[in-house]
Amino acid sequence: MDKILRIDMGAEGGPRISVSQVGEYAGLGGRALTSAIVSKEVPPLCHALGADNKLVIAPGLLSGSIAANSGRLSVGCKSPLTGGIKESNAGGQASQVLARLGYAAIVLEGKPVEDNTYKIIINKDGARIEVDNSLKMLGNYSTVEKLAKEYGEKPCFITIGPAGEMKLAAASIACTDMEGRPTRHAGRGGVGAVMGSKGVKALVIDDTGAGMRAPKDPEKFKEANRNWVAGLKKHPVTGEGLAAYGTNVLTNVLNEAGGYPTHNFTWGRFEGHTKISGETQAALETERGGLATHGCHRGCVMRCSGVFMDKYGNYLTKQPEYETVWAHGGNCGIDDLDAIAMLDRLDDDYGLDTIEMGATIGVCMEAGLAKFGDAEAAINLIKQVGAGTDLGRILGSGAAITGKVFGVERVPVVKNQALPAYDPRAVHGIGVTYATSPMGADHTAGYAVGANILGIGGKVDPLSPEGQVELSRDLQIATAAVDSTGMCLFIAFAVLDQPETFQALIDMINAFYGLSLTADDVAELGKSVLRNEREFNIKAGFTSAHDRLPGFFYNDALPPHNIKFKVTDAELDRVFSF
Amino acid sequence: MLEDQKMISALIRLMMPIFQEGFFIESRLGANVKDILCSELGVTPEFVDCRIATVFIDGKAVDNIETARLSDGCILTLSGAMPGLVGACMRKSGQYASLRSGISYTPPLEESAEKRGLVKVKIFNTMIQELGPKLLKQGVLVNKKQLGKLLDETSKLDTGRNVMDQMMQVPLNSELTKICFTFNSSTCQAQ
Repeated sequence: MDKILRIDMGAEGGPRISVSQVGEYAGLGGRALTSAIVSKEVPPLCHALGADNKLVIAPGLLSGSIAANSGRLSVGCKSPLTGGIKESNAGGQASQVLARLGYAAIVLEGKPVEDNTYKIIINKDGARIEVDNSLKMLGNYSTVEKLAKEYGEKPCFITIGPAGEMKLAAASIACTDMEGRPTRHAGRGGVGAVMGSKGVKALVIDDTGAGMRAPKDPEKFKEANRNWVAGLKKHPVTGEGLAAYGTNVLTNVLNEAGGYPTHNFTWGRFEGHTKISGETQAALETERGGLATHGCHRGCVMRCSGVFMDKYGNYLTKQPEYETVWAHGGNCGIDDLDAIAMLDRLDDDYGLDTIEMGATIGVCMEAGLAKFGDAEAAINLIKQVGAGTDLGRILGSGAAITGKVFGVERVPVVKNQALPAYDPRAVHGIGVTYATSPMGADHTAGYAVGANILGIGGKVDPLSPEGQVELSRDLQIATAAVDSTGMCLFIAFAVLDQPETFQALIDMINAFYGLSLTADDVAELGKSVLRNEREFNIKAGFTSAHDRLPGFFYNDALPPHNIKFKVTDAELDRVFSF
Repeated sequence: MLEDQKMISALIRLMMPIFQEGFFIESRLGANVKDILCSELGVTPEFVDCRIATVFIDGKAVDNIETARLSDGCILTLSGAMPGLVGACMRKSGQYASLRSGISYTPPLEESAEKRGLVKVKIFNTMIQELGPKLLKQGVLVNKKQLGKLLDETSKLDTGRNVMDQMMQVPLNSELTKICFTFNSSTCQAQ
């Protein structure tokens, strides 16, 4: 993983490919690398869909090795949704395959002059780019089916759907899973629109003939990975709860806590929660011959995903995640798992972020375009996006734009990105992260590795109401570091509770690269990522005024606990004081 | 009669909506939650400490189950360890409890006298598998609406007759009925 593949889509005479050594970016992977390249090479004030923006696709530091759960792919650019820097990541096979081919990153830059649709083919012999206008405006499923006919089942595919081609701000980038389905999405921030602006519809990546990446110290690496896997398997979340019920196991618990945003963040509980809970979903999947336990990429030991079949026993989509079930379900008053799964399928096919679209439909319902609870109307609204109607293009531009167009005051966004499935009035700490993350509202931005394990910022009394700012900051730092390894963020649960599992992660990195990193070095990596991102945003025009939640979170009390968001502006402004 | 294990799985599936929505138990009140879980549900202190990671009383996240107390008509919710930062911060005495301090449970200042009362209990995720068989055997109280739905769902099952053969219904009053199931299970995990 020592080279960067660059494709200048706007080069004279057509797209030009070059391969260079990683050079100054050596030692970086995943989010650390995407954010370093974007912050150094992209003018912060450029138009996100213009020639100056770059789309950076980077596997993590441990991707392509035998390290368990190391298959996350980072995608970075200036976001057309937020206007700031973006790192969005996805599971699936792509990260492992790219890493084995030796690429630390693929960088798409420039802008094509002609209206052609391109595909990029990458294998052990190199890379080439071809025009393939037969792929134009196909859904992700049809695109992958067509490419698989041409290139076989072995490669993995990174594609965009019609939403990306239309350059809509909620457009995602799809990566194929173990079964070759385009179900794993870098969803947030409109990264699909940036890929669309480069004229690239698909990357076909085939690692045939490329071996597993070899560690510098194979014995130490093997032992660290053994400890790593043991740690993941013995933990009650990573070893039991996630596998049995998937991330949607959170529905009941958030609902009970009164922090489950319902009817466009009007209430904190949803009457129909048991009909769409992870427990009910897992039972339904099993009854229909689907899978309630399944990995999203090879080498995953947690297997928090699944396969959702329709009522006739035919494949419909992968197991919808908690955030998807919430966004299209409780947030819109919909308690029908079949309808939610259909919305997930449509989002995946059109190439849309499920969180952004669920929030957008919620805003539409508040505006009166459909009634809360009307699943058929929600499906029709998403179909408008796929069809590219005028209304569909508005919706596909996200909740903030939709709210403006239809005059809705309650629009749940920060930096124009929709809030995920946890109401910050019930859980103030997550509100701090939503408000201050350089990514916009993002539940994964402050997710990982216990602050008390890393020792960033000193110990925090867990039962004190104070310290939420410090916790959020430390979690954001730790998460930025984990996002750079290629590790799935869900490892955080095992690492959080088991210091020896965290040590195993550091041991793996050290054994792989021949380094002697400490926990402090990992923290420093996370800080440097955040500094890069923060600086980019400041140069792009962001101020502390952008690090705030929408007014209704401060003004409208959330039932059933009737609480408001109470973290002060001064406290929010302390988050980045490191 | 179906094999016990298959029957238990079928019953757990059948009871899943009730477990999630909440059933009722007659319980001692005034004592702390840990004592009550051990005495009323018959689980060990180790099970309470190690397996019940997340506890709510009336939707408020509980940190110390040895000071938390149940009152008549309250709702007690039990869950395993949850994923995600927000899941982690809901855990009892977790590292991230401060993140949800606005919805944390505060124990009553005054101790109430011990008496008996009705408590609504919800069990989620791993608790359904681990406490479910024991609860099915010792019996839970369900309201009229829940019982009607349960009987309706049972009648739709191929094994509906078997289920009915093993179900006992004892009305407590006009609204609540105790239901329990007879099977020879030795697999109740929450011992």
